[in-house]
Formats: sequence, structure tokens, C-alpha cells
Amino acid sequence: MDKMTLIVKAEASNESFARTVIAAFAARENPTVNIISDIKTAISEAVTNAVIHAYNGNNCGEICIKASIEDRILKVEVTDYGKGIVDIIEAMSDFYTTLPGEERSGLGFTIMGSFMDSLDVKSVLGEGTTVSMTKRLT
Amino acid sequence: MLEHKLFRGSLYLKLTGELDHAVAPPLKSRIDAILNSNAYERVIIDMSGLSFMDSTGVGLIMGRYKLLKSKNKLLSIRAPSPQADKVLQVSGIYTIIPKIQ
Repeated sequence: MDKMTLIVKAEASNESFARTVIAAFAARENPTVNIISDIKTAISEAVTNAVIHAYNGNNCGEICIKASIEDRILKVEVTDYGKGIVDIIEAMSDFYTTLPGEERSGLGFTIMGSFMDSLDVKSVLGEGTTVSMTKRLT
Repeated sequence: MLEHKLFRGSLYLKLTGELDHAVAPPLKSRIDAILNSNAYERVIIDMSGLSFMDSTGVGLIMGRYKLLKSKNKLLSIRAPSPQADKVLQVSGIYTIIPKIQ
């Protein structure tokens, strides 16, 4: 099994960096361009969520992204150590946003779920959130 | 990142590069400044040059759609790249904003 860990500050400029790093990690298995695009999109959504919500937009916290590849399946965990999600089912429903004034679409989890093969969210109030996703690289 | 031209009542906005949460706030301000300082009947957002877009882009497009609808102006999306097209399809945005080639 091949694995990597990336720790970045929770700021917007790291969204592009994180999705590019994970795409490059997955690319060693020579997946299709579409699979790489799907992974980039889903990672962007997960990291953006952490940047916007976990620390209330303050760039004070960190985001830890762990990725592994085993039997051509990419597994990614995006973890923050922020405020946590009050109601995960509500947060994952289409168009739900806690920031209606900021033109957020409320589709982040919807896109993660439809672009990846699996999506699992675990959150503890006051401790943080981990978003786990898998994608077959063939 | 953003070019615009006005032709026979149509305002064309061409987006290029990557559209995510990091670049959306200044981009939104520039688009709104163009929308407020031109006379037009319809707006066409050309997304053929977008190399990446996530749901932040959906929020940006929806926000402009609501703004234009309040002014009775039409909005269309033109030729999104395959990656942006998939995000837009999953979002369901094509049920209210037409895609043109």
C-alpha cells in the first residue's frame, strides 16, 4: 500500500494546492482523465468545506489530508480540528448551507457523493470533522 | 480570468482558468461591476476556458441568475468544459439556466 499525508493551513489558497497534490498522487496508477477530474473536484469540495466552516473562516487551524492507494482504490481522508457539524444528515442534504448570504450552493457533499465511489462523514462537536472518500482508479 | 464584450444586446462574459472559493470573491465583484455598467438584454457566460470549477462556481452562477432575473434579463451558459459541465449537471442548474453551444 502506498500512502501520503498532507497538512496545510485552513486557507483558501490551499484548496487548489491540496486537490492538485491528491490528483498527482492518484495519477501514478494511470487512471483516466475523467477519474482524475472527479477526484480533484471532490477534494476541492472537502477542503473548501474545512476552510469555510471548520474554523469560522479564520485561517488559524489546520487541515490534514491522508491518502492511500491499495488494489487500485484511492482512499482519502480530509480532517479538520474545528467546530464540528451539528447535524450531519442535514449538512449533507442538497442545497443546505449555513451561509445563505455568501452565495454558497450547498452542494459540496452532493458533489463529493456523486463524483466518488463512497463518502463517509464523521464529526464531533468542538473536536472536528473527517470526510472519508474512496475512488476506484480504473 | 474574465473577459467581456457586448454585441447586439448580448453581453458575453468569458471565464478562464480555475474557479474555486479562493478566486470567487474578486471575480464576483468584477462580474457585478460589468453587469452594472453595461446595457444589454441577455448575458452569456462562456465557460469553455475553465480548466476547473467546483460548487463555488454553481453558487456564483446562481447568484448572477437571481440578480439578472430581478432585472428581467436572460442568462445562458455557453460551452462548459467537461469537468465544469459535470458539476453543473449534478447541481441541476440546467433546469433553470439553458446551456448553449
